[in-house]
Amino acid sequence: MKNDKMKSIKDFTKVNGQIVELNPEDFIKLPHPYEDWVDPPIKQLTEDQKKRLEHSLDGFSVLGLPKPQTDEEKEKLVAKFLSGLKKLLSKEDNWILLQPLLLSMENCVKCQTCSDECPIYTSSGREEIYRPIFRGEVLRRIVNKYLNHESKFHQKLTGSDIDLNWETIARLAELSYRCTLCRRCAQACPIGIDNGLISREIRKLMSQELGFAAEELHNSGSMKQLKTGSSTGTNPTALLDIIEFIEEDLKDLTGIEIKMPLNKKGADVLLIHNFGEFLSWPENIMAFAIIFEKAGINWTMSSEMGGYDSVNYGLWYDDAQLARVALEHIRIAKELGVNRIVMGECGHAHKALMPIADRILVDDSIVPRESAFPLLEEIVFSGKIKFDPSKNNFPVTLHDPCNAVRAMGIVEPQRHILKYLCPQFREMEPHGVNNYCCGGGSGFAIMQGKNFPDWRNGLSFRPKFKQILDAFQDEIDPSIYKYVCSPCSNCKGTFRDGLTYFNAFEKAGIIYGGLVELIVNAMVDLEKPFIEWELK
Amino acid sequence: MIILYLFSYLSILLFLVMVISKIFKYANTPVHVRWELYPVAHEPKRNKYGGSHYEEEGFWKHKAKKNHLAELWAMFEEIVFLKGVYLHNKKLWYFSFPFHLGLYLITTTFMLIVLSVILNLFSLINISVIQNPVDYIFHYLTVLFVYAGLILTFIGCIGLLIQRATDKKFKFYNTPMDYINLLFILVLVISISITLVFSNSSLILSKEFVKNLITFNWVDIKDVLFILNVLLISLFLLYFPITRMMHLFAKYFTYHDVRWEDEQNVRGSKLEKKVKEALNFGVSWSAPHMQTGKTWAEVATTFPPEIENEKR
Repeated sequence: MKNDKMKSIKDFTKVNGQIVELNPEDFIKLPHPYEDWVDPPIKQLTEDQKKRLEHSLDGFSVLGLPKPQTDEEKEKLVAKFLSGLKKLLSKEDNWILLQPLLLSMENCVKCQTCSDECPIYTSSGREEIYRPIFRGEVLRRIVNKYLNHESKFHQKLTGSDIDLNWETIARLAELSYRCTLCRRCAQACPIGIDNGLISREIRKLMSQELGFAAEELHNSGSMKQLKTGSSTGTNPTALLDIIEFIEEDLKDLTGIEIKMPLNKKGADVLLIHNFGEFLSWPENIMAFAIIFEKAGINWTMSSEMGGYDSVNYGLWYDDAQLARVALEHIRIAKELGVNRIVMGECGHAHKALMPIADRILVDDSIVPRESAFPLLEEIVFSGKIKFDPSKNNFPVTLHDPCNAVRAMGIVEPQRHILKYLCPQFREMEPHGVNNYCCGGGSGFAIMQGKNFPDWRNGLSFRPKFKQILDAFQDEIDPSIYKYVCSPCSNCKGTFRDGLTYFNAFEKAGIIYGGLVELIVNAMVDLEKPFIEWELK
Repeated sequence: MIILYLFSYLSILLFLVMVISKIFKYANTPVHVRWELYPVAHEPKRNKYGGSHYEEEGFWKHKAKKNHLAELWAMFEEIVFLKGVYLHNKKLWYFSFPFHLGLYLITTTFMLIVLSVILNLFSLINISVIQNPVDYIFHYLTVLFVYAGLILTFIGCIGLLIQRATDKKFKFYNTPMDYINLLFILVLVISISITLVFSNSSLILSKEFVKNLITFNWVDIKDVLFILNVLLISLFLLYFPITRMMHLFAKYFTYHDVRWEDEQNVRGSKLEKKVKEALNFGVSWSAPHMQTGKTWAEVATTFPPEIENEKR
């Protein structure tokens, strides 16, 4: 415990000014060749931002909450928070997660078994506010005092004699965005308490009642997706241009000519990608097309509004937005009359449309939804495509996206492929369902505002980077090119920024990419390597 | 003396009411979205590494198989051995394990006492005098369980108290109730131990007292230590349900209804019916994009007003 401004949890509501000042020197140390690595100084908010925005948690601002100007304004916000808290614990307003939330709110015995499982808490040098149970404990005590109306004596007994004020709400809101919702803490909890869920539900309260959400998730995220068809703002007309460009690029790069199937009625598979792939990693789109075409899959993509971007940011902060986007995906599948939706390489999209939407869909909306990984496994081992694994004879390790692996149990298909196609495949530790989050989970990967990228790159990505370095220690020389297979678009976004922050290609020869790129790279039919050794 | 009996009835009754209402509360929450975490214990074979039916292409074409035996085994390991604590928090496990195991043994002792009394009521065994082999088995099992339980709970309780009072990570979050919970149990353990040591017949007295309770035969009890124990146990029964010690019952739901709950929604199923019911719940969230006053089904199928207006 480093923080000395707080002696107990009650001080979270009392401390004036910023509670925590992060110092990168406290963060976990990295192995060779980063023994002498010195992080650049953390970017501070500008004086103007400090004056305008709430930042009293740790000096970062994800939500950009404006400081209320009057006491009356503050009181109104406190009242609204309490009304939202009531709804969060009500059957009608929160049937979606009421039972898991009640169980987590009422039964934590503070055994701290979860603490060391949180990569953010441990890599921060054990900053108390990042401890998994911290935010839950604050919320519990508020519920006890203000909703359960415990007597003063009982409040003393349960430590619930804390004061709720605007500053506490602002800090709690920001604190819910210092957890990647990776749920390693929940996995370790012997009782089954889910502190990741509590973070998610605090975000939901803020969004659904007070209208507070990260700009990148709401206005520039799910709202933009519902408005334009994609969270990137790409509309169907622009999409067609991009696809044409990708088709041309594919021909230049591989000599293979493929006309991407669009809006094909009655296809077996509707493939939906995270739109980030189209813009940042078009080789992923190409690789899927090559594999599906060579394997003779009857597939299509959609160029209709609601059908070409699998992202669903509502998963991380808002139930209504989650349901709306999921239903758009289903609508397109029904219109096309496909047999099944197949999710491309995007972890959160997997989780949103497969297990989560499962309890939102009824009647003919229950369209089968699958992950691409087992289908790819089926193709790779079907004999329909010839492979030469020696083409992938470089060190490869695998990152397990939390949403597809820990939350959905899709563990082996991608490994089965890599073990066959990559002679130098090695696991990072821990791996599989015990993986560490990339550090960009729950939307952090796309949050580029103010000084937050410094928090993500320097702190939340750090444990993942340490895992990667450890996995490659025997081949760490930068002249030996190494590949981190990250079959998730958001994770790739985190790797792009994180590896650049640590100058990892120059210092250790590390790049990242998807799974399908490795599959295509090993294809006998391709004359030139498909993977380009540069940090994109 | 009648007050002692009445207080015992009251505490047992209130304990049952509070525990059952808590269980009822958790069991009667509406259907929720899937929120499982892998490994899911009942996944046949795949539970070894945390895999799921999603690893299979076309998993939706057939009903997922479940290995209920594996689920029972996982629960057994977790409840009896505190496997999660062992794997992730060994320092705590050294005291938490004997503490919990001790409590289980003491609880089993109570159950053995009740069972002895029931068998006695049917004239199958004796409780006041030990005469035949079955009497001996029951008596010595009870003695074994109660002493082992008390010793283990005492060691665990002391260790947990020391950890809670000295370890910074606990101190920051400690509340008076956290100490009271452990101290209460410690006092109970000491009190029962003293009674057992100083009164040879206290186990027999326990059985007779339970028999008196069951048969409403409120005879006088002269053993002061025994009376003190009855009062303490009664108070503990009243105290237990208002504490987080209720995790004992909540744990069933956190595992079965959340962590391992992976039932697929299929058309025409009971689950689909429950989802339909929930989708008709009203929404009162007040942020502009939420559209207060509509049902969840309406909210999900309508875009937020600012998008709808733009489209028009």
